[in-house]
Amino acid sequence: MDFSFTEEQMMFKEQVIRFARKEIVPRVQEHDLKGEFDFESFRKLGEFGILGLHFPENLGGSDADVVTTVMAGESLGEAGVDGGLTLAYGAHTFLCADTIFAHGTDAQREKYIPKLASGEWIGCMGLTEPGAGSDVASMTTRAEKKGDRYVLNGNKMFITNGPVADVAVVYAKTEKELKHAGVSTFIVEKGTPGYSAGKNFIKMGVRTSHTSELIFEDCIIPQENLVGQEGAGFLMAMQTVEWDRSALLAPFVGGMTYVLNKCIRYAKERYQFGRPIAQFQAIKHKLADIKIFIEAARSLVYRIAWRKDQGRPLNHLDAAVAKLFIGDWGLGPANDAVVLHGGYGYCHEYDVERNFRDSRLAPIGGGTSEIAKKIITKLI
Amino acid sequence: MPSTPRAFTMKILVCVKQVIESETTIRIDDSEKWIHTDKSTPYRMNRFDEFAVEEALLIKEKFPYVTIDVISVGPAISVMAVKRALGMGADHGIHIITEQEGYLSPYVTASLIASFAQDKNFDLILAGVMAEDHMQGQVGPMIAELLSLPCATSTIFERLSPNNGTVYVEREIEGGLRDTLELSLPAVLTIQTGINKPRYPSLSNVLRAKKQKMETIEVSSSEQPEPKERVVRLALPKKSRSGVVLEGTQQEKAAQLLQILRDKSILT
Repeated sequence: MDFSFTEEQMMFKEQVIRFARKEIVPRVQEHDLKGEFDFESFRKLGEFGILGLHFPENLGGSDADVVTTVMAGESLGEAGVDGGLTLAYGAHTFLCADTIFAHGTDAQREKYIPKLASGEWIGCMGLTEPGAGSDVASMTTRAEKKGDRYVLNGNKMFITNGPVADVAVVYAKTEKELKHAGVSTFIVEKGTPGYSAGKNFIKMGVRTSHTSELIFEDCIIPQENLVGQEGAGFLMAMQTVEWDRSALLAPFVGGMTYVLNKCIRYAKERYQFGRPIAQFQAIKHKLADIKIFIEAARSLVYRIAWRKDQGRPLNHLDAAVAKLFIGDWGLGPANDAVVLHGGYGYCHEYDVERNFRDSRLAPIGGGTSEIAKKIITKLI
Repeated sequence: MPSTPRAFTMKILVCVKQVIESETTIRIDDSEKWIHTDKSTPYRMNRFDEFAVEEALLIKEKFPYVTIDVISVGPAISVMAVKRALGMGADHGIHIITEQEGYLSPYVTASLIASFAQDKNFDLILAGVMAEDHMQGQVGPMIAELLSLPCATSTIFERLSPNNGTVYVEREIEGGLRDTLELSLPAVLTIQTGINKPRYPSLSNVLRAKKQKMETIEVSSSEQPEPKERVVRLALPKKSRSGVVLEGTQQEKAAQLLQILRDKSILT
């Protein structure tokens, strides 16, 4: 196994960090405090090429492999970009755009991918429902076929980018009686009669990503907006897991590197009892613990990315371990970083406070830790 | 009948330099003629040169069939500036490798670039208005002199007229004023910051650059022209003021600070 990155990947990483530090990070605190979606930063991610990195050049992408794509996400976190913007990017690119790219027709790809890759349109994915979280197959949103159209009725819940999305990839039952096999996938555009998004939920963390309900009331969707075959939706949703366990987790890992650098600097500058606190064993141990988490977490996400690049099928055990480790085990280091900063760490001005709040999402979104453990115990 | 622009070919050469990141804390080495560097020393493309590369790219976007060559003179590390320019979208890279690390006279740099460029028929040669490490601003004008080309410095706007074989230039001068020149091509322009917004290298271009063959020219010290000047000594500025650490309780420190600010007439 080769664990080294190429010179081009390292050069690109440096550019992503430089770009993010200059163009995005100065805007983070203000938007996080206000809980505002940063449209300008999102558009800049598109201009820079992040939003469409892994799509082909003829669709506005850069033909990046998965490892490089994951590296870009990690670099955003490392530069200090907040978990809200990186989550918005993840949901947009991997849960929405990639589903259209991977399973859509040429016409669907040509219509949506260039606009999503550039950031001109924002995408979201509607899977979770008020009564169907981990138990996805129990969804009740219906897509009834009437002639050459489908009529959607139902609600989706906790949808990242819901209030700001121009296009949604929505999962709904075309066969009410069937469980997984009855789920189909549709593209719904903003402005379609019968489709609306609820209010942005006020969240504990990832506050710059907007989250809402999606509501479908006799929403008529043309046949051409069906993605793939009827009944193939559940598999499509599961295929996004590969991205979820690599590219969507990578910014959390990069974010911890950002936090570690903050901690090291603070520990060297903060004097107590006549010396920098970095000289105290209790502080050293915290720094070491954060570093240990980062290195283990990096290995897990890059392993999943590397396997995808090799064309190998997703190893569900690895995926569940990665999700659980970064989600649950990341909370300790995020807390350590706050503790290390003392009273300052509890203040918004110090980014460790935001990171602490943002980190709490990782064990919840995209599959809870409890479900991850269920998968792990089933597969060992 | 509307006139159609004629097929237009043009060759642009952009001169770039790799410099030490300006925020780095520098330490003068034992020779006192250069600064200490090691593997962890961060480098970057001279910011002024980024504007020159971007201007070339904007010309290329406006006129089809423009090709952009990027050249850098310096030790091995300089290749990174060329690669960054290729990542931004330049077509070809040339690295003239000099043996020695340390100070390189602008006359030597300009001579090496001029001797490379003299038989290549470049229509336009661009350079940053200066390099942020030494701020001499000599390389561009010297290339022009060595190749007997017209030159405009501190260019804040340019407009090419390929059919007339000229370039219209606005130069930034003191007080926000501009003076305007028309130069016949080929010409050398040094580009002022603010003329454009340099783009970041794209991954597509970085990957494309990987496949491109970089032209590398090795120049030994004996092949270089004699520099016209030498570094006598580098010195850090003497500390003119020392910091004061206030002692005491928070209230005592606040009172001391207030007194200092009043003494310096910052507060009245």
